[in-house]
Amino acid sequence: MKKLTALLLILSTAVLPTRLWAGSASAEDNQFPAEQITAFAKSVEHYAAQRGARAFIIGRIGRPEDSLPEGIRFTHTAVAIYSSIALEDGTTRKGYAVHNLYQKADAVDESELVTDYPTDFFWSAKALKAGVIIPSADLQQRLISLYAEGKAQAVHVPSYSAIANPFNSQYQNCTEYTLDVINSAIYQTQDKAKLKANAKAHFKPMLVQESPIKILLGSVVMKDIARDDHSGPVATATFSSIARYLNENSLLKEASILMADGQSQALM
Amino acid sequence: MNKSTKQIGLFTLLTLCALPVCAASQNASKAAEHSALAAGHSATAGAQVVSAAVATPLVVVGEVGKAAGKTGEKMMEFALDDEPLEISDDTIIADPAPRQHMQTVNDQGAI
Repeated sequence: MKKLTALLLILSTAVLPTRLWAGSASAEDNQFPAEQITAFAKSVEHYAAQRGARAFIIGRIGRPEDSLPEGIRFTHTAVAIYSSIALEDGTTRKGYAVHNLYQKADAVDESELVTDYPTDFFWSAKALKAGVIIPSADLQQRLISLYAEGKAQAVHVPSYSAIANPFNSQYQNCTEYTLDVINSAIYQTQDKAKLKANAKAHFKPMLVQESPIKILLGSVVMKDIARDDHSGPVATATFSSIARYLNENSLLKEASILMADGQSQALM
Repeated sequence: MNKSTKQIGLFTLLTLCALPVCAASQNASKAAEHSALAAGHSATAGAQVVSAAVATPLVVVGEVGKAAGKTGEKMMEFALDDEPLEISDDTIIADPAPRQHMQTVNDQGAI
């Protein structure tokens, strides 16, 4: 019994560092100086704006790059929409608003939809690199309509799992939500059953390259890791798998990684 | 706690730290971000840090009523070309979540 108690104690203690590794970085532990973050965020805006992107998929790295599982390039994905931004003083500015699904701070197995801005988005980044997926013009058009009409909220699933299965609506994470928003724009529906059927038919998620034991342990001790929505190997939506999906369906204009020095490289 | 229990615990700790929480996306606390930015760390000379109230997608209406999709539904056609878009030099940030905002205000004794 003592052994079991000790093991459970250690397992519980292990949860905390895991969450910190998971990109839950608070604003207190921003890794880069504020001026670097704001400059980088502005450079990402200019990069997209120079290409006339009115809607694009944006990714950030929320944990140390050398700890990212194989094949994972970005840990958080959202949709950026070129917007008129009203300020508290009544004036307006033009720039990108970022539409996110975030875990709730006080209930990590639940999520909420939050609109923020590029500096907020990159504040807790562990590397100043941005993923930029610019969809085709017609898909941008449909994404803008979806947000302008307030329909993107309809595909939100508040139950959160970091390794959510994109083929059902039991749980959702930020990347799956982005995929659902994209498919909602493509198919002009917010019917979750239809969106999942279409994802299953056409989208190829990424197989999570970790041992089943690790995943099982994680699902036991961590509230934001669920295994019961997967019937076989664990596969989930990733930033890169969304880029491939758009590319395979001729809906991709550009997929790039933007670095802090202003250089960019192709994502695929 | 004997040696084998410690070893099991250490193994568990290491394996969990490497778990593929690949899509984790927690909301960052905004209080410290606002403090740091409010201290004058803006990226560009002349640019200011400003709080957003609301963002509205910029929809440029051009050719209206063009049929789209197999069902022939109507949708607006926006002026989507490759022309560069205007971006404000200011650093725009979201306010903290209401609970954090209230806590910050309370801590500062303003309420």
